[in-house]
Amino acid sequence: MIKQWNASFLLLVSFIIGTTLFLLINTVSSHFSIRSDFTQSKQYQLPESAVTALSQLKEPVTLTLFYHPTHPYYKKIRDLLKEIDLLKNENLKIHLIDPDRDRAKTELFEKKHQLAARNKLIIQSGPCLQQLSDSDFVEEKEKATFFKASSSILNAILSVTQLEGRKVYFVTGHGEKEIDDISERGIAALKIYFKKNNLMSEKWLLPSKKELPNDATLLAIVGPTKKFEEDEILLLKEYVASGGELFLFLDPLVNTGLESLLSEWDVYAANQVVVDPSTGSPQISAANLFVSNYTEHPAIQQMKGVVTLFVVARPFFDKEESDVWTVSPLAITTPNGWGEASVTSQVYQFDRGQDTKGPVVVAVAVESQDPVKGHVVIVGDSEFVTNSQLGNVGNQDFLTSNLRWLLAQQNWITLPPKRIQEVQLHLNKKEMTQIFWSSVVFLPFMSLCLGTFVWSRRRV
Amino acid sequence: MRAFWVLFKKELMSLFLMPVAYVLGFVFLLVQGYTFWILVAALNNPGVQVEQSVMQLFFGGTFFFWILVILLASVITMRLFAEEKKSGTFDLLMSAPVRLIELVLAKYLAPLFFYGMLWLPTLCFVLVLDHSVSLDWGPVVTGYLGVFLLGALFHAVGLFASSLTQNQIISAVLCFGLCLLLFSLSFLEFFVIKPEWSAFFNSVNMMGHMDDFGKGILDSQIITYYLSLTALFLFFSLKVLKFQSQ
Repeated sequence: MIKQWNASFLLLVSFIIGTTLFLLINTVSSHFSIRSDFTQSKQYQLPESAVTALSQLKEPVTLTLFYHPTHPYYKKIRDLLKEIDLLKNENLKIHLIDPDRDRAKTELFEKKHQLAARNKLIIQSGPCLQQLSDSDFVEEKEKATFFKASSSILNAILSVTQLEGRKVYFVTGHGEKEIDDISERGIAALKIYFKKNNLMSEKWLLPSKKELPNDATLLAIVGPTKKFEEDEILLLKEYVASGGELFLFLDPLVNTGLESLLSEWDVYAANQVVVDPSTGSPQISAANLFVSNYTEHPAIQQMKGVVTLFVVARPFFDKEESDVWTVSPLAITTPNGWGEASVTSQVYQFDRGQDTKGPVVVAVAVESQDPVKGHVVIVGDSEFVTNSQLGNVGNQDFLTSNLRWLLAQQNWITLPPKRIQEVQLHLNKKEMTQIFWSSVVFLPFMSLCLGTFVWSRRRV
Repeated sequence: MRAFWVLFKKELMSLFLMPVAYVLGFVFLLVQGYTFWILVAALNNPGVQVEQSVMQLFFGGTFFFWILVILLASVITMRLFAEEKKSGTFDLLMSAPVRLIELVLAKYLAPLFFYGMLWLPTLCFVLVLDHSVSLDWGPVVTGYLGVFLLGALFHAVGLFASSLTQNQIISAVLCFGLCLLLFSLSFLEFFVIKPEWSAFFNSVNMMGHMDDFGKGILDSQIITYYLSLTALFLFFSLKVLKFQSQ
């Protein structure tokens, strides 16, 4: 009996030792795991430049994915984050949160950071935060879908960790709105907004400096009221031609001299005021534009159902004169809107021959096929980003969308996007029949024949 | 070592000389062939848009795959020790001048070899497909490796189940239940909220593992998991048999 008890006890102990050893081996292996991609195109492997950049990361960065597991891109993004996690950089922390199941955590996060986290990857480092969503991960090009998440995530990580390197210069000296002005018509709120987006703002007095900064991530010109000199216009032209990103806010009925520059980019800035009586209420002027019509351009993503209030806007038209620049409308009035030429009249009325029939474009993006050249976003109103208007309706969303597009053009590292291969077979009827006969009929039948042979031999 | 080879050959012969083994082979190849053909037909339909390749879906992407692999391991291994106990040859085997580890390994590797032989004809599917479309062979190789590791684990579970009882049916049911339990850990990932638990269940998610193998990814953590769990069940079988022989 005692011998039996001893044997049982020893069996139990060996079970416990075996299980402990199993757990130990797996814990150790989880810390030193190696992952290899055996696909021909190395589809799931992080490029060498990304590995180097992420391995050298010194600042702590947290990546929180708020995607539901059924989201079409969830698995792809999760796999990529897994690859990043395998780099074993202790400064990188990755959290996957299902916003449907872990609502409390999601809501707490949203409340804390004042943002909508659902279907987003939030990248944080200290006070800096970057949001990435579907449009940052996937790109449709020539009827194919490309996965560009590694590039977006890497650049977002670098942008939150390298705050000092990103600067927006606000050109001054022509009556532009000032980033230090905290009055209703100033743009101090814009400076704070840029800081939240990891961009440091600085003023640049162009008339006295006679050159443009060479470390600008972005150049902004907000509501100039005086004319630019010829040499200044030339500087701006060269800046964009050599890859600079420009954010231009031009008010109506002001001749800034920049119109000639816009003309070279195939944009005609009309000396009119955009009017759309169908969007506002009778109590407010028809020149106060509530725009909710946006195009499909990448600079204006996720604006569906969001209204932008342009206080007074000027219209833009595509001149379509050269093949160098592509002008894409971003925000458009309803067909009831028009470009009003006689702005002195008390009542806005469409005058055939004088006014321009709607829909009218109030913001455009200018880009070139030449990758060396920069990008320009031109908005026909500067009032909508002033301290009193920036928080109004969807003004900030409009600004964010355009800003993200301009910043996305200036990446630290560009990784080639990977084509998402939709596996489609193109087999003809004959090939399908061959596969059917060989897989469903021939092989099982062979097994049966072999079995019959063995059975008959054994009987003999 | 010589004893191991003798036992291994004896086990293998008993498996290959059983007509039931060929019936098993017939059912296995019929279901696998049908699954393969359905997948090819589905992906040949222009209306169907998926990112996974035929082979990725073939290795663990269907219900048939899992049920077949689990059932196969249960049926092949159910007789290993249970039959010996039932027929009374177990004590004879234990008193024979054979080391227990050799006996366990021979009993384990013979059905595993048979399992491998069952999968071997499915290479014809790949070759037929390769004849019609350009195939990436990396994921095919890793897919087969995944199938082998999965089989190795389920057969070790089957051997352990067979060592516990003298009834073959109980052994098969026990093996089926244990394998199903290990497989169902895959779904627990979706029921936990805590990131630590989610990460744990993700690491034991067999469907996720097969997905990685099918995609062409080899992860040392996953391979270690399968090899160590297989070794653990073999160790359990060894200890149980030692206990029973005392």
